[in-house]
Amino acid sequence: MTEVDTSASSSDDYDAVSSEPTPPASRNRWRKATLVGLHKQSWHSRTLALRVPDWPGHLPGQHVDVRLTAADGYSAQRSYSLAEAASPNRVAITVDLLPHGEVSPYLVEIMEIGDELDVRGPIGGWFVWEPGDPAIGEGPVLLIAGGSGVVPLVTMLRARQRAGDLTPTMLVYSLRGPRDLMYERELREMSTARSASDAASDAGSDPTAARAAEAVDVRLVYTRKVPEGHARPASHLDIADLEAPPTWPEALAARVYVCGSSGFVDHATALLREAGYPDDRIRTERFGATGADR
Amino acid sequence: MTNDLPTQAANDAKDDHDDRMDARQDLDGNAAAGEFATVFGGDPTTVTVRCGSCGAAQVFGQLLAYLGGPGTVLRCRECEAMVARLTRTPRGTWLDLSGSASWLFQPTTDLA
Repeated sequence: MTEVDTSASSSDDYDAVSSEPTPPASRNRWRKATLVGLHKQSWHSRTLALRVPDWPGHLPGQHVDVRLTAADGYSAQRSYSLAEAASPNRVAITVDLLPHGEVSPYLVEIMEIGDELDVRGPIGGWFVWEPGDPAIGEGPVLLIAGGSGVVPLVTMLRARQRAGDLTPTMLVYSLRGPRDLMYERELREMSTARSASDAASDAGSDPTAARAAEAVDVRLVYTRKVPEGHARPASHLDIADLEAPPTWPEALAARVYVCGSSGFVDHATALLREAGYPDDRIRTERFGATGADR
Repeated sequence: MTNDLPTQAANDAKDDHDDRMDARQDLDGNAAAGEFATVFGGDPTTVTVRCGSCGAAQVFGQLLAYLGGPGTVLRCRECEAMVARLTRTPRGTWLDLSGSASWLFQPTTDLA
């Protein structure tokens, strides 16, 4: 029931001109959202699940604008990637703390279950990966994350998994150290599905082979501090980190998504060009200051 | 993306050359899409914008975005000239596209 009932929701509309029940109007008005769930992601980030009545649904990679309004009427708005695949009346965002930030300390440390804020969206159509996109075809798809830039990319991976999509996919995730790792368990499950089923597929059973194809290659690129047992030494993202895994049918991905700080995106884009990627295969999303961006 | 800007007090406490001062310059058109969608009536991120100064074409999502000021300003990623500005005032919303040469709305966008 992701279908929008705009007639029912227009009564509490903030915007007088959007009383017409047209899709653009319903997408762009501010909606009241109530915090219903919290989940710690790393020492400086957490996921907030919000109940948003009549949410029109969204695509993986899209974001929302969030607005906080103080008692004196002062308001501040920021953009956050949607952190879950679409489900009725619910959105989730993952917020990284910027110390001395205006909005993120409230979202990461103070906001409690039942508290309200305003959201507007979903927003964006360019930094989106919908499983089955004809422009991507058979893939492969390369996802490159700098710090909390991993959020929209994990949402893409979840949508891929939910759709049973078999596009060969690799996530390259650059982060400072082990305590900055977000979605640790989920990423481990997504990637170990392959090695677990590789062993099983020696028996030649088809279901496990399919499960192997569903798995995602995950490369963790630690830039400062490496956890014990991790082979790659600490250093910034390098061209070797972007090389296709041996299972890919070709050397270059059909589409690359890069999300991170502006400096990280510039660095990754330069590496991709060096590796031979044409610009029209690369889609990027940049964000501003956060506590530990990469 | 996960965006935030420093509080005014934090800004005041830092000197002008601190990296944090550049925070508002680190965004792209994706972050400005919510504001522009309110006047365009749909998602602008896939629209191809040609800079009126240098002639470079880039998708809206790639433009440099400056938020947090009185208006939302978009600049060309090649030459940094202003291509679009959206400002909300008590009189209404001002849309200034004078720095751009053209906007290509492709049939695949939900604006077409």
